[in-house]
Amino acid sequence: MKKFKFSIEVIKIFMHNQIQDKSNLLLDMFNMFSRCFIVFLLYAYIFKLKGGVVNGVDYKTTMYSMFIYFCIMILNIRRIDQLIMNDVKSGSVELYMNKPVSYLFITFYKTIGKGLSSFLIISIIGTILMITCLGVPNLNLSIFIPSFIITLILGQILGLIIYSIVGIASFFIVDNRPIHWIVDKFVMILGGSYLPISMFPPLMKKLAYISPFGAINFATSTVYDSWNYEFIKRIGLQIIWILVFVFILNIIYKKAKEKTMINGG
Amino acid sequence: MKLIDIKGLTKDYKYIEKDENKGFIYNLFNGKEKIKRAVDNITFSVDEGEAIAFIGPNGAGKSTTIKMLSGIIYPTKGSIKINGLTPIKDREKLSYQIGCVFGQRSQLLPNLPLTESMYMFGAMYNMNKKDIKKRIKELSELFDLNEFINQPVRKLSLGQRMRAEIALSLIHRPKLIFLDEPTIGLDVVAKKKLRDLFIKINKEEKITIFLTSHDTEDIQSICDRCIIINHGKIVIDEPTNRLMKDYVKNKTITITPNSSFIEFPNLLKGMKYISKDKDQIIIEVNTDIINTQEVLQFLTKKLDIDDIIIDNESLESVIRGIYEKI
Repeated sequence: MKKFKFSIEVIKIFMHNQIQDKSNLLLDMFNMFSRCFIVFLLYAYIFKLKGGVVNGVDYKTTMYSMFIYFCIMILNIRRIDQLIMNDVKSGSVELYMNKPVSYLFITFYKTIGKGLSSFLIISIIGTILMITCLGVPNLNLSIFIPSFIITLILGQILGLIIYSIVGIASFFIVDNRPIHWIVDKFVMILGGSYLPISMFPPLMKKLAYISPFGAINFATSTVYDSWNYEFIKRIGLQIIWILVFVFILNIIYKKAKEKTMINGG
Repeated sequence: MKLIDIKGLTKDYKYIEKDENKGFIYNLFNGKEKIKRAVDNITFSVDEGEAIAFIGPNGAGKSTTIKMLSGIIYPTKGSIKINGLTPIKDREKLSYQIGCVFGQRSQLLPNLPLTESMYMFGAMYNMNKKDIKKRIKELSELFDLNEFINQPVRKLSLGQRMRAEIALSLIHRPKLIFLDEPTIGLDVVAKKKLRDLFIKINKEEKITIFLTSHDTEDIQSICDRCIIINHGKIVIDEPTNRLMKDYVKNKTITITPNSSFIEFPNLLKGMKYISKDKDQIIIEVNTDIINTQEVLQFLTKKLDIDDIIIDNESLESVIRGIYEKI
């Protein structure tokens, strides 16, 4: 309970810290809306060419899926690996290694706190704009709302864990950016950043379904009809991946702590 | 009562030595593993309430030792007990008993007032809001933080920031504080203020101080005992005042004449002129060869003296001399 209280305290403080710099929020907002605008125009043209439906999914549903992806990007949990790498490179990791709360947990809370305020504000404004421009999506709200919240939280936890493993690689290698690049591209492609999941060929769709990288962004699938009958399976998969990667993270972090080397004066 | 007890502490770092004459691929598979011993079999203990200076030249092994003591890095060999706890095994329990200040790194949240960092760290140490508030009040009075406690940290001067860092590291009332070059980069006024605070927390709050610094003023004014380390080994472990007595071999004597000096007599063995002119003579005396009393008798007999000033060698030059010898 005390650790939970602490996590809330850290998240609140970092949200507050982040919101002090209003330019960050404005930049995030500009980034989000400009990306949405370009992608939406592009796909409007593609859907028009295809008669309004691609792979059995209409334009509005596809755009809501992409909108969810862009909102998740604002949360930016993937920055955790850069935070860890910077801490390891600069030696700042020592500031948290001798605290009663694990360095990893503190970094988790910091990462969430840094992105949460922008995520909440932009998601709310974005949703209002989406409903105004595209109309209300066709959703079974009694399934969508709870399953969306659960899959979003589980996906972000999984993302934090996977990107933390990438970050911890910097305890062993000088620069983890090549690993970050590979993992990040997998997450982006399988999460539906470049191409909406509804347009994936069958093999890619399967990969997005079963791979941990795709599981980070299952929230983007919640607007599709298929979600209504497969959400339990998908949430189950996310839980399995979380357990697998927590196990891997534990082993790697233990090894990393033994390997910690910080230069002094 | 022993607060820190270290026996045979050793830390080795492994690294790969590359053959400069061979290419990348060859070195990737054939690089030779070498071991660098950063800390070499050191043994010492620190009593509760002591103020220790742990000093040495760059690369001597000071920071590595501090990081092993505070549970950040794993020792290769040897044992560490801090208040009965082993840092690596009991890292969480130990964290409640120690505070750390690293002069070159900051724990404070830059965009927010100091109080927010204090609330965050207090929560980390399981303190409730009432306790944190009370502690902030105590620390504000002790460290004179009130003038800037509500300003964003990034707007503080370096001296104010260091006071804030130290206050933050004491939020959970630790028994022991590790100070790694806490006065680095500060001006003389800020340094003095900080040193007075260290003395105050050592005497009033009974906090044991473990200090590393390259500033001899820090050592002289704060620490009762000095441990000098070089190449990972302890070379000297003595009370600071005895270090002065045992290692200060040179005194400087400045003499001014009643009117003016006309002759400059030949000096005794162990004495040498640093400078001489009609208005002032400066002589260096090696007290290993000749004692001060003999020197004064000789000078008063040979010269028409108005005033004599005797200066001891500074701790800085003593330590410099030790570093050069070891």
